[in-house]
Amino acid sequence: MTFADILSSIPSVEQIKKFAQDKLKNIDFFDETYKDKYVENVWYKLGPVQWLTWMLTILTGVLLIGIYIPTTEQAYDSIIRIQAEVPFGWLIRGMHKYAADAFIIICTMKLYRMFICADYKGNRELNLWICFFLLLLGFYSGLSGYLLIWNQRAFWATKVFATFPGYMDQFGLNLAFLGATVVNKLIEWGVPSSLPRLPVEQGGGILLDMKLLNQYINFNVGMTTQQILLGGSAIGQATITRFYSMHMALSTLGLIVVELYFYSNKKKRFNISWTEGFMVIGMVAIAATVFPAEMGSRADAAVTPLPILSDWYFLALYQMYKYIEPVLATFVTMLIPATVLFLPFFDTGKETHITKRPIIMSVTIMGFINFIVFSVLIILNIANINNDPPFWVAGSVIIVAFGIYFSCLQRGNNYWKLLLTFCLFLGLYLSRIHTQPYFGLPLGGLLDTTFLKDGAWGRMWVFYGGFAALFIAVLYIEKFLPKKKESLESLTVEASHA
Amino acid sequence: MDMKFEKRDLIKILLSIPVIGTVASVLLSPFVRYLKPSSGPMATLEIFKTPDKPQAISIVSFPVTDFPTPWSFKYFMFQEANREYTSVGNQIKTIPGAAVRLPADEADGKPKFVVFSRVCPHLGCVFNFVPEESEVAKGYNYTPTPGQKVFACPCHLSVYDPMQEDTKGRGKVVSGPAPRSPFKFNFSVDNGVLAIQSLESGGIS
Repeated sequence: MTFADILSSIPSVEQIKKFAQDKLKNIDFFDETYKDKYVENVWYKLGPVQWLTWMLTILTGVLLIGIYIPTTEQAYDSIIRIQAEVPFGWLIRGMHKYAADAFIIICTMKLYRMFICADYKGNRELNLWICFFLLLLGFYSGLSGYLLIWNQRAFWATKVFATFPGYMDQFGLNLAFLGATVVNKLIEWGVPSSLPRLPVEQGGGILLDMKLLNQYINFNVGMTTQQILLGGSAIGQATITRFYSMHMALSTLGLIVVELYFYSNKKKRFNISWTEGFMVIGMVAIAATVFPAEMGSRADAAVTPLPILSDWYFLALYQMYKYIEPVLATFVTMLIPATVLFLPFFDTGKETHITKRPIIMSVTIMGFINFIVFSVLIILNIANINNDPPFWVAGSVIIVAFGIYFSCLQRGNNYWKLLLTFCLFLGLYLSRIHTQPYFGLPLGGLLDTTFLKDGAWGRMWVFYGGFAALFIAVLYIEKFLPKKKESLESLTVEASHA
Repeated sequence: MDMKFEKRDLIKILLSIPVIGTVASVLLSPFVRYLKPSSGPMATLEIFKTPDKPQAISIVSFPVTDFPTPWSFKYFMFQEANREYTSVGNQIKTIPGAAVRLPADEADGKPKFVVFSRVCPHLGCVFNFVPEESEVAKGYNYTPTPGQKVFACPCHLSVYDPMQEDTKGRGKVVSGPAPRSPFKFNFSVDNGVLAIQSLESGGIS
C-alpha cells in the first residue's frame, strides 16, 4: 500500500456529508414512521407508549416540584409531607416513579425490538441511537431522582455510581502493563531487546516506571468526572443541587429537541388510540396505588446497610462489580453501551429475520439472560462471588462461538466485519475474568492457568489470542468443509472479484 | 498528485481541530468551574488540575484504656475540609474510621493498633469490623480461619485482614474485588493516648 493509496482512501467532505445525510433522513423518535406496521406487529406500538410515559413523568414531576425542597436537611421530610399531607401526593409521586420505571422498561423493550426486527437496517442506525440515549436519560434521571428522596438506598447507589468513573484514571497504566506483559513474554521467548530490565532474581522483566508513566498518561479524567457528577468530593448539598437541576434540565432539553422535530416535520406524536393510552396511564396509576412508592430510611453517611441494593435496572451491574476487578468492571461498563451503539454498523447483510443473523441473535439472548440471572443472583443473595462466574463466562463465550459458527455458514458475510464483531464481544465477555484462574474449568484444564495470575490485562491478551485462533479455525472449517451448492457459487464469485 | 479539492478540505478540517480545540479550551476553562468545583477561585485550565488536598479540622483521640483487650475496637468520625468552589463554599467531608487493637503488642510493650478509613477503596461504601466469624461466612462469602478477625464491606463483599500486609500496608484483601488495602490514618500513641491526625492522601469519600 502506497501513500497515494492511503490518501485516496480518505473520504471526501462530500462523502461524509452524504453519509450523515443518509442517516439523518430516516430519523424516527417514537415509531411515528411505522404507522403501517402497527397492525401486523404490535411491538411497533411501543414508541407512542414510550412518549406517553415520558410525558406522564414530566407532568407529574411538574406537580412535585412545587412541594419538594432540595436540601439535605429537608428533602426527606418534604417527601414525607408529599406522601402524607398533600392531597393525592402519594398518587402523584407513585405515578412519577412508576411512569419513569415504565419508560425505562419500554426503552429497553424497544431496543430489543430494534435488534430483533432489524429496524436499524437501511440507514436507520440513528433511530437506535435515539432510543438508547432516551434510555440513558431514563437511567440518569432515575438515579438523580432517587437521590432527591435522600434515603439510604439512593445515597449508596449514588456513591457507587459516582466512584466507579475514578478507575478510568488507571486505563492508561493498565494498557502500559498489558504492553509490558507482551514484551516480557517476547523477551522470554528469545526476542532480542535493549530495553532496561530488572535483575534476573527479581524476574528479569522490563523496567516500567509506573510513577513517571502516570504523569504522562493520567489526565485525571476519572477524578474530574467524579467531581463533575457529584459537584464536590463527597455527596452533600452541592450534589443534591446538581442532581435536582439536571434531573429536570436534561428532560427539558430532550423535550425541546423532540418538539422541534415533530413541529418541523409535521408528524403526529401519538399514533395509537387514546383508549390504549388511557390503559397505560391506568396501569401506572394502579401500580402506584397497589404498590405505593417506598420511602426507605433517611440517608446516613456513616452506615452502609447490609445487604444494599441499587435501583432494579442497575442490579445486574452491581452484582458484576462484585466479581471483577474494578478497572475491568469500569471498562466493561463503558463497553456495554458502546456495543449497543456500534454493533448495528457491523451487521450490513440484507437479512432481516433474526434467525438469519446468528451473531445478533446470540448477543440479544445473552444480554437478556445475563441481565436476568445477575439480577436474580443479587436479589436472592445466593451467589458465591468466588465460584459462580466461570459458568457464565463459559456459557456466554459458547453462545457467541455458536453465533459465529452459524454466521460462517450463512452466505455473503464479510469476514473482516465478522472478525471485528467477534473481537468486540470477546472484549466484553473475556473481561469478565476474575482473580481465580478458573478459565481452565470449561476448557478441561487444557490451558496453562498459572500464566493467568500475572494480572488482569496480562490474562486478557491470552484469551484474545486464544479466541482469535478459534475464529481462524472456524473460518478454516468454513472454507474447506463441503457446503451447500449456493454457498460454493457465491464463494467462486467472491474469488473471481478478488 | 490528482488529489480532489474536497479531500484537501477534509485534511485541513482535521488538522485545524487541535488548534481550535486548544484555543476553545483556554477560553472556556473559566466556565468549567460551574461544573467542576475548583480548589482556587481563579485557576485556569481547571480540567487538568489535580484535586485539592484536604485539611484535617481536628485531631481525634482516644485513651488507650478504651481498648482493654486484643481486638477491641472503636468507630469514629474524622472531619476534614476541602476548599471547593461549590454552592456551599468549603465542603466538609466526614470520613468514618475504625481503630482496632491488634493481639500482638509492640516490642516496647505498647499496644499495637491499626487505624483504617472505613471508606472502601473499591467503590466508596462504608465497611465494618466484623469480629463474628459466622457472620462473615454467612454474609460476605468468606470463611475466616479460626481466630482471624476481618473488616468486611456490605456493598461488593470485599474482606480485609488487618494481620496481613500488601504493598500499601496492613489490611490485605483476602476476598472480593477491592484493588488495595484500606486507606490508613496517620496516628501516634503517646502517654496512653491514641491520637489520629490525618488521612493517607488519595482516599475517596
